[in-house]
Amino acid sequence: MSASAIATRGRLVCVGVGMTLGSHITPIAQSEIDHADVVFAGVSDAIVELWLREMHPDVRSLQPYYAAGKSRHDTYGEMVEAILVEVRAGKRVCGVFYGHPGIFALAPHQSIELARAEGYEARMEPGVSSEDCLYADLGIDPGTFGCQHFEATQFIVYKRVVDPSAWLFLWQVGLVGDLTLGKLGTGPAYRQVLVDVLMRHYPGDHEVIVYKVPTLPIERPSIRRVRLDQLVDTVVSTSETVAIPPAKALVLDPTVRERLDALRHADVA
Amino acid sequence: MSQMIEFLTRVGADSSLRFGSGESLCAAMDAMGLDGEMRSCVSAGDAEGVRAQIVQQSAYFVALMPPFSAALMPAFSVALMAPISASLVAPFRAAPSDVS
Repeated sequence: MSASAIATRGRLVCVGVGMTLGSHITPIAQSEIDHADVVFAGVSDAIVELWLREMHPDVRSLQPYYAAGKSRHDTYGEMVEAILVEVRAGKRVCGVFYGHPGIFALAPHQSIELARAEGYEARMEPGVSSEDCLYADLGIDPGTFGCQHFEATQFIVYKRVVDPSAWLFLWQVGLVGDLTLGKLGTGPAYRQVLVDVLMRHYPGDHEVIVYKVPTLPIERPSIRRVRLDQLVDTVVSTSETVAIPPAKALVLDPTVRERLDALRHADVA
Repeated sequence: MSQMIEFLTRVGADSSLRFGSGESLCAAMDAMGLDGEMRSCVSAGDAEGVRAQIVQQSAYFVALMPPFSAALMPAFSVALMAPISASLVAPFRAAPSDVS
């Protein structure tokens, strides 16, 4: 390949700018934005998009690809194609996504996978995710009881093995039960299905937390505590997460404990 | 607008403004010349009020992941046991690239 061909070869980096404007952007993400030819913005707030436009002269919003009644499956495919068109055109492309670009984010993963499959350099730089903020704001250490994370619709559509002795985090509850992938939100009837599934494992009076991380630095985190059976009538937006504390104590496995004791007594390395 | 973005960026990066006393925030707003309704919204932590004054389209859709691939429905239970990434990328895969 000639030097000129290499010089014009497209590349893709997907970065996260974190959840809160100005607080979470990493130096490497800033650098990728600064040096990009084209920036695609899949962010969570119109003001965050304006913030990006202050950083770079060619920011292209991914927000117009969403539409009521349009399958998000199509939306994400169009996002991937829009990004890849510029990579194929030899541009240095930066995909900027809110939070962490690899967490609950299909288009960044697919864009990178497709770019690599077509022979382009592509990578991801992590960002501060909603999950990271949740641990800080709710005072949860994921190592204390363990954690389970599920996309809410996936959680109810499939038969999952739920461990009520660990934390359970449900993401995208605002869209729970939407099998069309075309709704911009679902209501109480859909949340009732979710609650019914959850009540196979948790009592109705179990306290759950509806959490939202601030996107603007003048806001505080939104932390609402409700009974599980009240979640049906609790409006949950697409940017909120439901955190369910453990409802049962951890139970020791005596067989494993005996094996470990035997190893300890035998002083096995 | 640009000035307000600059102000929010500064608040986001400065703990004394984001988490400090209201006096620090007031001093920063004075320095920026923020007044009127915008100043009231910032002081009250009213993000919706700030959005309403800065952007026309304040409603933003936030979701970057489907719960499953529509291409796999309705037989999603078995199909999802296959490598997910390959299944999901396939519908989007473009014609062979001319890049060598």
